[in-house]
Amino acid sequence: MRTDEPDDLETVIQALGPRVGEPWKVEDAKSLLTRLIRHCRDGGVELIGVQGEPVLMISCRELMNVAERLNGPSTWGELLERDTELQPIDSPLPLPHGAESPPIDLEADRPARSVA
Amino acid sequence: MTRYLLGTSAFVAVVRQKPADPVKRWVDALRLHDDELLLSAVSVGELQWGVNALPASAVARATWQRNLDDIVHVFVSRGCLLDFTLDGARRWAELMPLALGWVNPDDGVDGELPTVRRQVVAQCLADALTLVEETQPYHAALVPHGLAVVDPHASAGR
Repeated sequence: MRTDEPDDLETVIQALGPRVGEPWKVEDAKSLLTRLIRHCRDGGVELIGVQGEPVLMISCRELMNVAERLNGPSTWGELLERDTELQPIDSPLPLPHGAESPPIDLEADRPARSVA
Repeated sequence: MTRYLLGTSAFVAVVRQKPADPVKRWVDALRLHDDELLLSAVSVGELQWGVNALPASAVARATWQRNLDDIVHVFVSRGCLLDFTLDGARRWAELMPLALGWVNPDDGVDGELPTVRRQVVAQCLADALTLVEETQPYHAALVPHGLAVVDPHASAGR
């Protein structure tokens, strides 16, 4: 995995399972990759070849998305509950719509402006 | 994945947060990772205009402002706030000469879809989004233009 933001990557890896600093068993890595890929969006993972070895490319943004999909809110209701302190409001909010202006008349002759 | 755009009246309902409101319930139940929910900056401006128009002494004014700020922050942080783009502006110019019937949800009075609301609909068409809005007379007129609408009131059984 390659990232410009190692703090984000660490957060993601911790959220995904095996702890940073602990050696990963092969089974852990397989399980982690399977979970990770299952939660990626189409196009979020790219397989490239480096010196003959297949390398999986995943952007840090996609990893963050995966972590949120695994551990974060799953609906907008849960998200708003977590991230806001919204209060119900009894009174309506009538919206002003303003004066409607006619289309610009591109053929109209504008009076010449006087120059002081 | 369906990409939804909150209509301005639907956005008002989300900011108002009345528990039984069909729009609030629809938004609350929307799956974060299966579909995308977007908000137009034009709608934010219209709501801010409405809040500004409330008397400074209005008890609810501070709550409207706080709820508006909180929700806009969530949309911005998720990259779900939609600017009015050049494509949107060009679609808006196509919509302006059309007779588009609209019922003001605030007072039930029939009229024409206001200019500012046409900007939201134009952006919706430009980006091929599904508009979240209570059924309006103008919807049928814009179906041939590609408008797709979901009405949370209808899905709630009214």
